[in-house]
Amino acid sequence: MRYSVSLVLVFVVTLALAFALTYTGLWPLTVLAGLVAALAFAREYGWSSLASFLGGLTSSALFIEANYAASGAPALREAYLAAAVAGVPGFTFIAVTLLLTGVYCVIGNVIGVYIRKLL
Amino acid sequence: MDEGAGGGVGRRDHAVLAASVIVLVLLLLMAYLTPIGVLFSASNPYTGVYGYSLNAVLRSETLHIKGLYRPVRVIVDRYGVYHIYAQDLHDLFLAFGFIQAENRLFQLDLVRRAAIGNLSPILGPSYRSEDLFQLKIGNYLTAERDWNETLARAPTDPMANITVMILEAYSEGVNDYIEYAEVHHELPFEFTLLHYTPQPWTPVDSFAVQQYMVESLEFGDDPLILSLMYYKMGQLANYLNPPFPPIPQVYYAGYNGTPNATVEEEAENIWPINSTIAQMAYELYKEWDPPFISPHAVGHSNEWVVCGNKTATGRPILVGGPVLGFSLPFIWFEAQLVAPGYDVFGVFLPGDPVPVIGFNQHIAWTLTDVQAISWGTYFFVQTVNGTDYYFNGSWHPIIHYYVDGVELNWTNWGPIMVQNGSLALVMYWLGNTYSNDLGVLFYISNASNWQQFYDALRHWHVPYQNFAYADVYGNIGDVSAGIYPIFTSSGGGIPYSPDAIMPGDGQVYVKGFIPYDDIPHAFNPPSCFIVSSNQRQVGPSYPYWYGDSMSFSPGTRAWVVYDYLLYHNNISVQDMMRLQWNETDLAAAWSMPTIIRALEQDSSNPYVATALSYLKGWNYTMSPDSKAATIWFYIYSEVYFNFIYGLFNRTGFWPEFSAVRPGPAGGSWPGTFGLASLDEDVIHLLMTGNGTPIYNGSVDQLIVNSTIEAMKLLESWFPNGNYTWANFYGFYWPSLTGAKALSVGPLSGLGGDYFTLNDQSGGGGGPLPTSPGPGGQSWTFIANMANLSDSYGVYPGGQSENPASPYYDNYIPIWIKGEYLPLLFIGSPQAFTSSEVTVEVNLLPSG
Repeated sequence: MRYSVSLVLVFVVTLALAFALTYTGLWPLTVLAGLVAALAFAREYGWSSLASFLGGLTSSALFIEANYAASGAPALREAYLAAAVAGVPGFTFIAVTLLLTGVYCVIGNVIGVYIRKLL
Repeated sequence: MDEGAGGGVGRRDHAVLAASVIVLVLLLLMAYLTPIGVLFSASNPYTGVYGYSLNAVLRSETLHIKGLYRPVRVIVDRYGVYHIYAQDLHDLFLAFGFIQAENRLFQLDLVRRAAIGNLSPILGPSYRSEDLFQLKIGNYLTAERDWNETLARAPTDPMANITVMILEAYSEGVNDYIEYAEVHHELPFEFTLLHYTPQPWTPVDSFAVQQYMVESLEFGDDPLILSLMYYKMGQLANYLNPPFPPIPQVYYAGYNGTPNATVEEEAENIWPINSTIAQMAYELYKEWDPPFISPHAVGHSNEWVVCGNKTATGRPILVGGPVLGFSLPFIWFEAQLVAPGYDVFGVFLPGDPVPVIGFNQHIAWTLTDVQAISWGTYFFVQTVNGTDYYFNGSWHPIIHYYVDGVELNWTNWGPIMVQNGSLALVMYWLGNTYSNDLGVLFYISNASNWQQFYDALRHWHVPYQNFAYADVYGNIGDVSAGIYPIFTSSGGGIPYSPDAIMPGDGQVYVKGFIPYDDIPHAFNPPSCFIVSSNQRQVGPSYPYWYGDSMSFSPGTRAWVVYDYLLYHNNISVQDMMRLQWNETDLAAAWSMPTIIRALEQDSSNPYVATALSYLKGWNYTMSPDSKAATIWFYIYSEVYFNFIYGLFNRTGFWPEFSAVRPGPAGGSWPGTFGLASLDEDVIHLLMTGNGTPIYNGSVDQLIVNSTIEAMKLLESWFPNGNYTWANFYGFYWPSLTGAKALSVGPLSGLGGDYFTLNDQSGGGGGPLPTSPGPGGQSWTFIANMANLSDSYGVYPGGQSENPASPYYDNYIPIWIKGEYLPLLFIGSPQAFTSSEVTVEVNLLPSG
């Protein structure tokens, strides 16, 4: 399998699994998305981590779009206002939402690559 | 970079893995074990703050609701008002609970917590003292007792019986929504941020909210202030706070004759307190805590009814403008409730499933605060030992209650508020009296004539409210409902004034209450109209002690309406709209001849000359573009300071009781106390130009000096001289969350002040944006009894508490311009036209 294809697969599988795992409400479980994608397709830490990060980030963006924005719900505005009430900059929650899913997936990715190397 | 996997694990791999695991563990620790965890829970894409955005969208849908017997149809009209059509009362109130919670769940939870002193668990230890005060005054105990009492009465008392049904159904509806919101992750984001979920709603919570409203409307520390004044000033305190207002009044319920000598004597018979009791009173004054959530601003409300002989339609018109504190979400929620035999439109409080103000097919009603008789709050000094209190010649056991780990001690009068050795300062607050307000409101909302309305109000105990009434048959009326204690002296003489602290050993006691048929009321008066704007309801010949001049509003607003209605006929709904926003300051009109005469004697002074140039041609309207309005406002303020503050300093009241200062609820005049008597003293001084025992200097010189001070102040703020009233007068809507991003204002709209119909409460004090008033006419309501579909109303807020909703604050731009929305009073869902409907929701029984 070409390396670029494996990266695309890491991205896609991470995205899909993270999207699904988000429905559990247990956000850290998205680590598994990165882990499974890495076990299946990753070859090293570097680019596959990036693919995993982007997959996780995109999954959250799509999750918000599919579950809220698509039905007309002002999800980003809600998060912005909630942050204002919490006394933090307006885009804090949105940024954390996107970045943290990515970080969870990267952690899973690293663990996955490590296990793959062990095997 | 095309390295193959599976090439073995090296030290670098171990390091990378270790770093990742450490990061993961740290993230998990932060998320679940540290305060920063709220950042994680709020940002969770599924269970975080995003789900609440679904609540911001109105959509036509079908929902299955537990506890419903039959389907309920809900229509949201084009203005965002909910119309609920059920097939029986149980389903109606259950559905209303669901709908109100859907729109106001966080507000509901916050108000019940504020009511019973349970804010600190969610807002932090800084709210503990406020919680303790709420516990101490008895709100929780009373709410619980009221519900139990209602349950006990239900088998034999139809009003209690229907109350039980309504509250149980309503609570079930609220709880159905809580469950729905939890399942769908649609809880208001405040719960996520504060890291808790709402407890189920109970009928006790509704009584707690009732208790909170009583506290907001009928609860005061005036007797503490009067006793402290008397302690330092002696008889001057009685001149400051005379038994009857020193300025002209409109007494809607009559009794304009010679003052009742006994009542006058009682009002001035203040019990002299010693230094120990003075310090106890002062301690309690400092502890006194106004309600956490709006309304802070009361005492500026208006209501009037005009009979058909004076209207263009030949049928009555009812006008209501209750002044309450502003907030977002707003205190009111607007809806029409329909079930067989019941059809009412009105505004509802949080936790209250029956409209407080509204109309049905037969009658309309609205409320203002009575403000009588010391706000229903009295104080007694009793002798206590560790376990007993002394009353009527013997010792009786103190009753101990324990709420949230706090010990509350009650005597026969009520809670011990302050204790110093063997002396206890005890509060007798009528708010702790049983009152089934919800049951009464249900009865009047279902009344079809005056007799039913009047009879229902017989059961209204607290808070004192003027209930204005009009019906489609041509009748008008007003009742100042409530229970008014009659104090008497065991020795047979004149009892001590209940407007000050009284001895609690039995020499003063309550022998009963003013009989219901004797309380102030009017029905179809010859004048053909009734005006009740917090002014004293009955004149000096009323045979019962009804409070002194401290609590009632000065009465200028009532006079403006009275004069208009007296001299106008063929009155239309539009005339009433204009009158409701009238900007005329009658205190200014009364005072200006004296002010101008005094200033003309010193017109060579450039400040005086400038003031005169504006004031001489002024028509006394507090319009936003007027500079004369600003000059009057600040002359009045400076006169007040020089007169009242001067007296306080001269008598030593200050600095000994220096904490007795103007508070946030002190009316829209900056630096005033919110004690109507002091305002009346100032107006009286300016009207007459004569000195009194409380001001024996030259009134003319006082006016000149105050004018110079006022003009210097204005010119320092506005060197260009552009101090129009719009710079000072505006409205502000603070968010209940305290977040500025969710607050609205300050906004300048129409003009007015404390003495005008369009009252701004609680603001003033300097150029905007530092001086907006967080209060005003909370529901501008006009019911046309000739055609109820031609009725109007708007409250300055929005139906949804969700700040991302278009219905969060959409009524404010309408209200601020003095405009109205038509009230769609539609008896069945089929009768709506498509343009009148925003969405339709079908609620079906689940399972």
